[in-house]
Order: sequence, then structure tokens, then C-alpha cells
Amino acid sequence: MKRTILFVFMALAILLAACASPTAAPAPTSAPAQPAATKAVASQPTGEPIKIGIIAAFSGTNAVLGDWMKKGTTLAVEEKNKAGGIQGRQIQVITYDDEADPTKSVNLAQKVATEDKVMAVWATSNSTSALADIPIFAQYKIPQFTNGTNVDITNKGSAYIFRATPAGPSFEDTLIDFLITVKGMKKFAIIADTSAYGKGEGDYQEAALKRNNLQALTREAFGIDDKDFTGQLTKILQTQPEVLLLGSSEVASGLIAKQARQLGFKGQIAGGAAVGTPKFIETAGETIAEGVFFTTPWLHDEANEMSLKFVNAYKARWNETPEFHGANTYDGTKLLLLAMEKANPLTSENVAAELHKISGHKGLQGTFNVTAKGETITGTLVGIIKGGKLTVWTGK
Amino acid sequence: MNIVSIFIQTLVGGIGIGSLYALVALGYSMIYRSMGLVNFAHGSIYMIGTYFGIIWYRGMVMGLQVPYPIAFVMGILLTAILGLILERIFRPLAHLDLMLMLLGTIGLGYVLDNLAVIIWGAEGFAVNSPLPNEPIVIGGVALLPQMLLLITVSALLMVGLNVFLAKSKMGKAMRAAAQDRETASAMGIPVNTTNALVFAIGAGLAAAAGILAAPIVYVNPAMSAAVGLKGFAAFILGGAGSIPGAIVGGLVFGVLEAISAGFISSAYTKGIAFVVMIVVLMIKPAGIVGEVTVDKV
Repeated sequence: MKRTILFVFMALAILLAACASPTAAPAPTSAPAQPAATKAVASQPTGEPIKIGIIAAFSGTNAVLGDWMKKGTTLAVEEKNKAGGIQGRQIQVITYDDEADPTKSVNLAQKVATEDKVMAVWATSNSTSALADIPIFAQYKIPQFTNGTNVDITNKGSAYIFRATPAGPSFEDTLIDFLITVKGMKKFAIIADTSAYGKGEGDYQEAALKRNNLQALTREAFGIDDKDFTGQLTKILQTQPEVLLLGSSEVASGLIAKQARQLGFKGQIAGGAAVGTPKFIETAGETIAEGVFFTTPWLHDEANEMSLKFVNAYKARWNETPEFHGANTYDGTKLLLLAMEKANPLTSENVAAELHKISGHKGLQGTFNVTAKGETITGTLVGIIKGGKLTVWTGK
Repeated sequence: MNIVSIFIQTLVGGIGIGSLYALVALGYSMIYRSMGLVNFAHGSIYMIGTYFGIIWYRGMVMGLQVPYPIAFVMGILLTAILGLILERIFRPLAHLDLMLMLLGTIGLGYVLDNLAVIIWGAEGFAVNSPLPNEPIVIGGVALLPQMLLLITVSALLMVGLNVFLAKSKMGKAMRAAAQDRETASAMGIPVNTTNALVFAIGAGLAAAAGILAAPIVYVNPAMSAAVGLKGFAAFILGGAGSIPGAIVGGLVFGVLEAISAGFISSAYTKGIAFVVMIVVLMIKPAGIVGEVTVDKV
């Protein structure tokens, strides 16, 4: 009997540890002094490539985010390299897989900052990991770009964090104002996961409803690994909402949309950033995704010359149509390259300082004005999924 | 919708996912019973098994697209063969210390997960159901055809397994070998062969679960962890090594998750299910259907 109990506990402990993706690298307790790190970057001889790191999920259900991040960044870097690089030096992109695990992300951030001596870094699309990495890049004075949308990211008070896309509330405010004022909807239900991104989206949705003197009929939550949402959705459907608001990753949002329709939900489905992606359409299936509303900072627009040029270049390089992560990492990398050109001498600390001076820069998502907190742009537009494609909402 | 149909709706979802856990738990249980081995690579076998079936259904092998029932059978057979190979690798582990057994099986699980990433990529994909996506509505309860298929086929497999173990000559030999290795050996039962067969059946059941659930969930290499853990929890909850225990444990675990999501708090479903499991084990350490023989390990 005793053996059984002992066995159960030991086995559970080990299995849980295995599931939590253990990291081999020991957690750093005493980091080298800051000046040493920046000096090392500064003393790189001319001619050696300038390194930009990408820490992102390249495996697991969020793998698609890392892929998009790499594609947008690489495209901008390759264009710059073709044009001669920066101060005669080529730019090199190095990628690291954190599997969307904050613990892994922090260890990689430490490695990137101290061993690889990157000039700047993209870390990460996952708000939870992006938040975890902030103190490390602040300590080593390395500019950190993210397209994670959680508002807390820029409220951490770091001078080295930059968000190359609008923050979460911008997505949800636009979406909910549209649904209420344009579509005349009043009865909302929210389903959001418990990650920093999902919880953030749910919170911004609630805040936007409150601003319109409304309240969600119900708000349900789930863990990021969950695949069956019958319990939550059954609870939601009892409240008979007109709109089901999604606040989770591309895959989970797609599965929820699918299961909600299968449980008989006939109303409107809508969501922010993750819903406005090809992955959402693929997971939900084209029929179910049809007519879903989303908000996004960028959509393929034939009328816009800059957008058209980007889409063609992206298609030629990667053989796929870009979505907004590809666009915002392209935008952010352009900002970074601009700051690198101006930084004198070229150190990561000076690059961050130059980034803060950027204003009125035109990009794919609009006009960039970098704030003291590291926000660069606001404003999103409403889109609708039509015929399996992400399209701009035109009022019909 | 009245409270009764809401409850039934939640229950059906719970039983569906519970059947998935039960089929996975059966693999843990059968292998533990016959070899004394807790196979922590079983979640990874479930994941590989899912791919083994779905690659045919999606036409990922030389563009050859086969109907779902055939892909289902092919997936099970391929995974059973993988089970035979794995049994040979695990055979020396079965006699080792629990800690070494854990490390060995977990390690091999990681190898399988990484192989899946190398072969099929890390990203994963959604799978279309071979059945209509329109639910069948009875008294306000929406029954999804794929979910009904999962429940029905799982039930048939479980009944079939029990009949096989109770009635067939090979089934009886397997039970005898599981009960007393030495005596069975002395009676002329080829214990290594029965063990290999047990492993193959366990792997095949996990593949069946994965292929049936694939149109409901999202197929990717990371799917091994969550179901592997819950299948293991079901195996312990029912009573380690017990066949009916694995089935009951799986269903109880799935229903607990669904009910806590629908009626208590949706954010803490996993926590609630595990708390119940720990409480049950504190009151009845041998599990719900636990057998006394389990303690002799």
C-alpha cells in the first residue's frame, strides 16, 4: 500500500516534470556586469556580420508564429543585405526555438545576450514569453522587438522593449465598437484561455464592452492545451449570445469556432489578432470560418503600392501569401535597420536610443511614432473571412 | 435548453474525451500488468499512431489518399508493429529499478516526439471529419457524428478486448503470463511472445484512439504530452494494472473534466480533475477498481 502511494507520487512528479519541458541550461543567478556585454558588441571588428536573434516557438501548436516572425524579419534583412548592408556589414538572422515556454525563453535570452552578442532581438510573439524576457534584454541593453499584444509588455518600464504592432486593446476596441455600433449587437459571450495573451484579450473585450455600457453574458476560460470545449461552450450557449468573442491562439480559436457551430451556435463569431490568420481558417475549416469578423493592423491591399510590393516580394521568397505577423515583423525590422544606420558608434544601446527618436515613419501598418514606453503604432481595421480568405470589411 | 439537456450535453462531451483517455489508459494498464513496466512513452505512441493513420487519410504518403476506415485499420496495424519493435527495446527495462524504467521510457518518448517533428514537421494540421459536421439534435442535445463514432468504436474495442482476453487461447495465455511469469513459462507459455503481443495491442489501441479523435482535436507532435498524462492519471485512478479500471478511470477522468468546465469553473478543469484523483487515491490507494494483486510489484 505504501509502495503504491509512493509510486504514484514519484511517477506523477516525474511525468509532470517531463511535460513541463525541462531545460538543460542552468538558470543564471549572477549575470556578468552590463558594461562588459555592451562593450563586447561594440568591439566587434568591422566586416563581421551584425546579428539579429529571433527567439520564438518553432515547434508545438504555436510553431506557426515563429515561422511568420522569421519570414518577415528575414525578408527585410535580405533586402538590406542586397543593398549593401549597414556600414559595410551584412546582417545575419539567428533563430532559437523556445517552444512557447517562458522558462526556455528566458534561458535562450540569456544565451543570446551573452554568448551570441546580438545587436537586437525579436522575442517573442507569445506575450507570456515576451514578458519573461524583458528584464534580461533590459539588463544587457539590447533592443527587444515583440509582436505580443499584452498591454503589460510596454508597462514594464524598459527602454529596450519595442512593440512593432498595436497593443491588444486596439484590436478588441475596434472589434467591439464595430459590432455594437455598426452591427447593432448587444449580447456578447467571451471564451479566452489562461495565457497572458488569452487573458489579456478577454480583459480588453470586457473593458471595451464596459465602455459601451454593456457586460458580457458570461466569460469562460480554458488551459492552452485543451482540445475539447463542450463544457464551456454548453455553458455559453445557455446564455444565448448574439456574438461569441474568442481570445486565444490560432489553433484553439479555430477548434472553438468549429465546436461552437457543431453544438448548434448560429450567431456571430469574432475575435482579435489570432482570428485574422490563415491558421485560424485552416483549423476551423473554410465553411465554419466563413463570415467570422476579426481585426488586424494590416491586410493585403491591392490599392496600396507599398503593400502590393511587400506581398509580391514575400510570395516570391516564401511561396505563400503574407498575413499580418509577416507584415509587422517586416515593419519592425525596417525600423530596427533604420536605427542601426543612425547609431554611431553601432552598439545595441545606441540602436535602442535611435529607435526612440523615430517618428513619422511610413510602414505597412501605417505611420510609426515610437513612444517612450516602446509602443510604435496604433490603429486596426475590421476584416471578414470570405471564401476562405481574409478580406477587408467593406460594409456588406 | 433545460438543465437536464445541458447536463447530458456536457456528459456526452465528457464520455467522448473519456473514451479517448480510456483507450490510452488500457495500453498503460496492459503493459504494466504483463511486464511490470510503466511505459511513459505511451503518450508518444498515441501521437505517432495518430499520424500513422491520418497520413493515409490525408494523402500524405505519395499522394495516396485512402478512405477513413482503411486509414484507421492501417494506422492501427502500423502502430502495432511499432509496438512490437518497442517491446524488444523495453524488454531489458522491465526488470530494472522503477527510476531507471521511468528514465528509459520517458527518454524514448522524447525520441519518438522528435522523430515526429523531423518526419512530419512541428506545426501540425487540422483533420476533416469523414462524417457530416452537422450535429444530430435530440431533445436539445447536439450529438456530433464524429464524437458518436469515437464513443461507439471505443466501446466496441473495449468489449472486444475483454472477450479476447477471457475467451481466446492467446488471451488466456496472456492473462496467465501476466499473473505469474515463472509458472506460465514452466507451463509452456512463451512469455516474451505474449508480452510482445500485449505491447502491440496497447499501441494499436492508442492509435485507434488518436485516429478517432483526430477530426475533433488538432494533430501535432506536441499532442503526446497532454493525453499521455491524462491516460496515465486514468490508469492510476482506475487501479494500476486493472483492465476494467483503465476503462472506468478514463471515463471518470473525461467526465470530471467536462463537468467541472461546464458547471464549476472552466479555468481550473485540470486542477479539479487531478484534485479528485488525489482524494480518491488517499481514500482508496488501489484505485476505483483496484485489485490486490497490483501491490506485489
